[in-house]
Amino acid sequence: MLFPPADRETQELHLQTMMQDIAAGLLMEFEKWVLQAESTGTILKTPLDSQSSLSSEEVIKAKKRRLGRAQKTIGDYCLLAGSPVDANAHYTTALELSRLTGDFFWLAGALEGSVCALLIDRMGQRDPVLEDEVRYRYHSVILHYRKSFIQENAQRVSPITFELEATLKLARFLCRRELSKEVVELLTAAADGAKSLIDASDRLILYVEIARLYGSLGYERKAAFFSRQVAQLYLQQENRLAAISAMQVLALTTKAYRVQSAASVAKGSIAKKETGLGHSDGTKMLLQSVVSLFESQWSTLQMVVLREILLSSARAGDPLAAWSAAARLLRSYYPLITPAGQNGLASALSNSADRLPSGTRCADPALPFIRVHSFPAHPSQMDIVKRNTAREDWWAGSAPSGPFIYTPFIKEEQNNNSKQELIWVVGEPVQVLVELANPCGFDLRVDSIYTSVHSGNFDPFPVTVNLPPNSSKVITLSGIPTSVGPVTIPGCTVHCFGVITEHLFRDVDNLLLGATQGLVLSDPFRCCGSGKLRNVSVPSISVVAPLPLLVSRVVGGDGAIILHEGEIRDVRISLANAGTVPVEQAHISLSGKNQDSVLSFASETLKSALPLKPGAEVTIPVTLKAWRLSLVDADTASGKSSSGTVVRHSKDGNSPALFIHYSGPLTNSKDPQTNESVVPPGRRLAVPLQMCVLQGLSLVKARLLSMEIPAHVGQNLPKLVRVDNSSSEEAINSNNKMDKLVKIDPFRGSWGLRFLELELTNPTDVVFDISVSVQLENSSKEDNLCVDQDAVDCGYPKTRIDRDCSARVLIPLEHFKLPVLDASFFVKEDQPDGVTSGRSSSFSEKNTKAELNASIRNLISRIKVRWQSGRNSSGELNIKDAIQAALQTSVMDVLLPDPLTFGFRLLGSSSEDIGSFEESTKVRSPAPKGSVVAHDITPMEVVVRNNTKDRIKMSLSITCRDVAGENCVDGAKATVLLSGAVSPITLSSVKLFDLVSSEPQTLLARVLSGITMEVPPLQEIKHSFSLYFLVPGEYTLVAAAMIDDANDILRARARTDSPDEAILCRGPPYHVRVVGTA
Amino acid sequence: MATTACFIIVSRNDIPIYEAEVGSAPKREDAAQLHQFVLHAALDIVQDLAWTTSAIHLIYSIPPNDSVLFIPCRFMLLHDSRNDDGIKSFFQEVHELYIKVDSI
Repeated sequence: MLFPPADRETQELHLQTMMQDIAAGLLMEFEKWVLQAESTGTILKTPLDSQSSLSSEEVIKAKKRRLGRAQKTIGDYCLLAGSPVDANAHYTTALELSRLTGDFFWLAGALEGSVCALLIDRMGQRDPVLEDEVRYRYHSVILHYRKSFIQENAQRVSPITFELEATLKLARFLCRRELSKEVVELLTAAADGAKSLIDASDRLILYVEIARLYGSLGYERKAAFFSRQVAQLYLQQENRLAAISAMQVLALTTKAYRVQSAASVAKGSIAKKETGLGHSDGTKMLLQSVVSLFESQWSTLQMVVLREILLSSARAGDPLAAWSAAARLLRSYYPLITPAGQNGLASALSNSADRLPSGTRCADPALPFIRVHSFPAHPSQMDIVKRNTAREDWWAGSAPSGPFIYTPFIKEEQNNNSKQELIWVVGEPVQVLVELANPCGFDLRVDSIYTSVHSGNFDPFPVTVNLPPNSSKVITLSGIPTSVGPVTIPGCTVHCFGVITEHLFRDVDNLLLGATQGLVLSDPFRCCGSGKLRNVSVPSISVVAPLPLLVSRVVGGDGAIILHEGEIRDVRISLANAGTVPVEQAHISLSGKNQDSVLSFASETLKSALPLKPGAEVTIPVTLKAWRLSLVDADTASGKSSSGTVVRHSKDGNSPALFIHYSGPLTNSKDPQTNESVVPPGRRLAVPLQMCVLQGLSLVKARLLSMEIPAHVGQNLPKLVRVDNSSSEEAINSNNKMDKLVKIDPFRGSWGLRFLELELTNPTDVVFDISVSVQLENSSKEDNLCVDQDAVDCGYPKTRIDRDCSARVLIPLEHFKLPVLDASFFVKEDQPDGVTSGRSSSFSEKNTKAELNASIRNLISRIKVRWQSGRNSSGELNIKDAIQAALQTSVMDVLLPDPLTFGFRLLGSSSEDIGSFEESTKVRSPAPKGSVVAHDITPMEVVVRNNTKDRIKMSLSITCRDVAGENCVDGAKATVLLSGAVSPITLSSVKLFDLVSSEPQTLLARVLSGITMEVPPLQEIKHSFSLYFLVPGEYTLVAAAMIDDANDILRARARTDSPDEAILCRGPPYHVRVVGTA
Repeated sequence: MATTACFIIVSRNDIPIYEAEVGSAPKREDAAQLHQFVLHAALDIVQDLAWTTSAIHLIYSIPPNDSVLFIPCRFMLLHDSRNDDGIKSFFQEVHELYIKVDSI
């Protein structure tokens, strides 16, 4: 054979022409041979014809039919030879002949041949007329095959296969969506005919074809039905190859029965994605998968199919397919499977896994069911706060500063972010909580489970879990982020039953969603007794570069700080940088409840320690003061044992917390995705100041007591006081103990002395020491020299209160008197026009009231009751309210001085120079240390001081009483002689004393009464007089004054309204000790 | 010959919501499965035919009115003996009951 030297196309054309040439030559020779063929000797027979012996009748019949059969055969050969026109001609002849002879089988064959010839002739054309023609002819083909059915041959051979084949051929020809009804009828007929097929393999082929045709019509479920029939036929053959075929055929049905393997679904979705479907299609697909999940309700069928797949793949020796089928069966239909069946499936899984290499992965998860329990936010020690470069104080507003955890404004912001965001830090371990459920009746051992992260920047730590039958468990999966970038956690990777599978959270979410709508068989978590969980969305997680990490520790133990109410204690908090980056910025703020219980914290200490290098540590002192327990707390605390209260209170969210915002160096790193510079975030460390407040001392009541302690009339003390404090101290010490305790200067007198009595109980089991201190106003320098000043700070001895005891503490209120009796305090009580004394009327009532309140508050705040218990515990009682309540009624008496004060003293050489105002008010009546001697003229003076701003006219009278309280100046039994003297300052009437000797043991003097005096405002006058004591002993001197023309202030002070009533002002009693012999 | 029939109600999403094996034949598990398989496969054709013919016994579309909350569903009966009239009246009864239950 010669090939022209040319290119490839020409060679091909040449070859084609040559081949056609050869074919045509062959055909011509063949046709010649066929036409010349003499078939007289041959009898064309089919198995349908009688085989045994030809009777004469049959021979004649056969001869008649022979021609038609020959024509049909020639037609076949023509068709084989590729000449449809010739074939058609022969077929037409054959048709006529066989119709005449009633040879229906051959007639049908010839008809089929003619259809073939027709179609080959019009190859490529497709018009309705042709289609109708084919349909018509094939229907008659089918009809004639049916007619050729001969009962007597039925046992041996049947034309049914021809009929079915013709039916299938027509169906295949018509197989289009528009004609589905017709095709379905044909296929139904074919399927019906399968019953008459004797050979199983024929039936198998028929079903394959039917399934294929239904599939191409788009009737997936029908196709699946017949595919399953095919698979069952394969399975009947009971050999490995047939089992493989069965498995493959069944795999085709899984889509229709919605039991397909996740692997095939994933492949499909990937293929779809690759074709360029957008995001919207993705979500649609998700929806579809949810719907398809709900559609999987033909559970009986699905279980049957899966069981058959399991059986076939086990027989076919495909352990992975078997594992996958068993996993699907167990995971989806466990509620419908008996415990025994579940065990069987579990062992099937194990057996399959034994034949798989270790580390095999399967797309279909088995057990357990896994759902996200929670993504724990950073513990408060590691909280991350976004840093705003624009603001220096980026921490402001980032934390709830108030006592409320919930604020509506913050909530709104969170709602705006549809998805929660989580920030992880490279190198810092993180945790994810997942819940596992094993709803089956066997022990489930999960060899390892860890979060599956596809982004590659996360190092998960696997854990092993054992799940008892019908149980659920929340476990913590941890890991370490390894590099910066986003992290997505779609699910968990599980190594269970010998195979590694990935369990997606989304699938379980869908399942639970279906369960809530009643569309899915069962909620695996609920049937394990686990409660319903709110829908946890997987937050979008991003990993950031390493940050500093402060770790706090309370020096001396991290337990709750146990304090009694009101206790003040210094706590040292040590902060260490456990990160790898230095802390360069830090800010401390307070948060939580009871913020005022933190008296101070040394933020400067922290600031000065910056930058805090990794590993460095700084200690900051914090001063705490325990708050008061509320009534409810106190009740329960007293009812319970002390250990019980400790637990309860430490769990309470009452404790304040220190928020320390800190951050590392400000490096500008580039975000790999947005290519914008990103500031590393700051962090927040919450140091909870765990305070456990125990019930401490409690105040039962506070009340005001009045007391009377007479003073001694003396001579020489003031000078000593003024010169040297220590000597006055000695002087006091030399007096009796009682005087020291109450801090009353015995020479000063304390008529109408007022004490605040506090009754305290100690319900605790420790001992408390109470110390009371009263702060005095150090308004002037001279005050410091006073006796009382010294008494303020050091003098009061401690009162000890044992457990379950009460005690009373007395607080003298004498030091609070205002120096001046002023009109302003009586504004309210006075008539508006009456208030003209020394004050401008422009002062509003409100103002003065406020002034009064302020002075009351001032008074109260100066009283401090401190307590101490043991070595470390000390504090202060908060009793302001109680004091205020106690003082409310008599605050005027406490605060305001009397309009006049009186004092007595002996006149001696050392006391000449008294004159200064302060001294005389503070130490009104100095007295010598020694006593007055009887039978001697004792010069004395009475000092009258005007505490008001008005001149007071009065008539002064002095009485002297003996121990029995009788007046011993006046009357017949006077024991004291008294004389008045002219005061050096004022001119008042002078009465010389008379000596009357009526009784031998006493000298009588005329009483000094009605001494008219006028005291200028804020001044004092002295009135000298002399006494002559006849009998030694104790005497009491009392001065009293009748005020003339009292003004409104005085009236108000005396609490009288009637202008006619005389106002008597009486001074405190003074003691005079007279020694000597009678 | 014992007759058997399987009646199911299939909801819009092709989920069987009611299933009953009726007939005098003794119940067999595999037979029940076969019935389900057949009915499941038949859904394909029912789905097509429901829109093309009104002559079949399946009453598919009911004009919604005010009082009836219409939930589309399909009634299917698998039967082995031909009895068109009986089946037709059976379906009418079932339909009336369904409407009654549905409107409660």
